[in-house]
Amino acid sequence: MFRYLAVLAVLTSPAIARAEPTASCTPLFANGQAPALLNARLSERTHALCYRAYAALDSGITRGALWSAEHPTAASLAAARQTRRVNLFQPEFALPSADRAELADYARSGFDRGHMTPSGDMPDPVAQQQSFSLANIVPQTAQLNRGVWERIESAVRTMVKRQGEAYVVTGPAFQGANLQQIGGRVLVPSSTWKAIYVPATGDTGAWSCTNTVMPECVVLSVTDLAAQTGVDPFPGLSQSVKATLGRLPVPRSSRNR
Amino acid sequence: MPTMKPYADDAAAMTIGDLTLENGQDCVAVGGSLDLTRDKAGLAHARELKAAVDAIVHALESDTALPDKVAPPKATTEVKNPFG
Repeated sequence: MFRYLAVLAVLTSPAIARAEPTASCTPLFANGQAPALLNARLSERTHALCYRAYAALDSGITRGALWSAEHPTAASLAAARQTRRVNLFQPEFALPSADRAELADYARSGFDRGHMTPSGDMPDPVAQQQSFSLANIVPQTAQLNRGVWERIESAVRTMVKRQGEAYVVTGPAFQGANLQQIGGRVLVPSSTWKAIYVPATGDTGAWSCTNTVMPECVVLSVTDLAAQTGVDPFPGLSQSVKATLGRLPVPRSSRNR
Repeated sequence: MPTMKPYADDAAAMTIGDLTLENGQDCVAVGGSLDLTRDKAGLAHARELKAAVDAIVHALESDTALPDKVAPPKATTEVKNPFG
């Protein structure tokens, strides 16, 4: 299994934000329980990372996030609206160099650097800069990243503003016999997913979108998502809550663009 | 606070409202949407957008080696699914 990385990055640039102590990330998880990997193969060479407003589990095999968890509230999103600035994508120096993505892996790759936890949800400048760590990123097609995925992120923010808070876990899925790799190092997911739990209503559910030039999205229960991806985003919730698909908006897959 | 110099690096990203500009040495990627409202906030956003586009145009105009067309993306490699 994975081990949590303590604060260990040696930092020279003030633009680089360091990881936080692990315990401070417990409030980001539904009922305090971090997402769990159900597929043992996913667990190899993984590293847990804790930041100010999100936590991630990274894989040295994919060289990207396997999941990224946040706990947006109406208040944190209101603060996020005021946090608009220039940030820097950066490799995650807390990870061993063999296990992390580099900027060069994404450069001229034809893929966008897709945030798992959105930078637009981050409530302060330090948290926002941390969301630009490549530990929170996977390769997404521009059509997905700048299209329907953006509308799903926006739908989540609308739900949080209405219901006060939500627990949100986002990650990639790797399905099929073969996969693409960029930079000869970073695995391209076959789809990306986002799971949500809204405490005020008890609603749970997930969106999953193919990582293609013509993305197709489905809404599914957390139980079905976990079976398909090998990641249970909410081990702290009961099976019956996760098996019931709540009311989730269905964003249109494509728009003329 | 870092600033974004178009085409100078593969790291910088800036936001104007819900519009995102991501820097790359070969491409500045623009995504999202922006309401330029007829109010003071709209004017502030419009000025930010103009400054960003002006910087991009300036960088391209002053590039003495500007090609007709940028090189296509590097090919991906196909690998066996390690989790399959």
